[in-house]
Amino acid sequence: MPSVTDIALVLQVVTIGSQRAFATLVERHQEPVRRFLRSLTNGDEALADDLAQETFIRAWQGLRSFRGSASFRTWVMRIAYHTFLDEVRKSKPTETLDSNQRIEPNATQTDNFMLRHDVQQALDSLSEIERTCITLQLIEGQSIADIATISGLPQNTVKSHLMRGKQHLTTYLRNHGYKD
Amino acid sequence: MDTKIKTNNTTSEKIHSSENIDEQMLERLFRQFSQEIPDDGFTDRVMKSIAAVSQEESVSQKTAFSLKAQIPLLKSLNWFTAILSVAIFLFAGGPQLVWNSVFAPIFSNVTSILPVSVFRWTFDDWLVAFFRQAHQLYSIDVLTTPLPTIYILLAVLTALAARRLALLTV
Repeated sequence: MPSVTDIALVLQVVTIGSQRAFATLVERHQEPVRRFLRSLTNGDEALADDLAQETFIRAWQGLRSFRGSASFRTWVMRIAYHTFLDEVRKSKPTETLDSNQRIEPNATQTDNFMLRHDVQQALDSLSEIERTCITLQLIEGQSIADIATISGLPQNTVKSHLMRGKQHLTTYLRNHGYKD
Repeated sequence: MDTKIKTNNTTSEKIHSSENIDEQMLERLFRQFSQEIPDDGFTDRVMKSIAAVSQEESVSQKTAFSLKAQIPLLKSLNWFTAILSVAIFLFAGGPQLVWNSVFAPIFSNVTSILPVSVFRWTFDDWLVAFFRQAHQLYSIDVLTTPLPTIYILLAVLTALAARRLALLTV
């Protein structure tokens, strides 16, 4: 449990423009945001970090619009998702979604790397929105309601995407030798 | 009715197919998949970018502020305020003050070189001379009018010029 709540830090930023308070917020939430974006960008760490940086700059500029109806993390994840969508719109799909160029296992890499490679490949085989929902639930542990807030979709649609995505993932991973 | 039956079938199919999902396997694999991401100076980089963005915004806001401060002030210079402000300035003895404190000392130095009497004139002398000239050129009988009326006329003329200048500036 952090000593100062996110809301208190947001208030410090909004009222006195405290950059230190915002730095604490960035430090606290950079990991899920960067992990989420890495997953969306098919593991492109450099691109994901650029987008994460852009996300936090947008959050700084738009912090006055934060109403506290959702948690700060959900709010910033929503910004991250929209930053990613903007990036997809302005760049060619082949430039951002070609995962084979980035993850190339070699002989020195461990089993963990192979697992990460296979899971990443499985995620890449999903549609963009399925990947978003799956990442938010299985990696970031977000609730259905929060995923709906972040993606801007109705909760039932989120459930459908999750179900289809999980089914696809199960089939893919079983075909690649993974069993319970 | 047909539509309802179809919808129900689709839902039951979905529920049936969801049995194929191996939740435990997915949770286990994704737990292993999700790695910790250390900060590695990321927060510092973000804060540097924010500092740069804030500085740019502050500069642009200052520029916008100075312009925004000027434009309404100039635009608010309507006829009434223009005439009133110039009239107050004139009646409060502003021109005489400016003349006596700024121009008279300069001209008094000049008169030591150029012995021309006009340089020793006071503001009122200039004013009377101006209207005398106007009387000769345009037959305007301003000399018979009381001095306050002349001041008001001058205030109107100056206000016209001031407003024109203000609009040109905007």
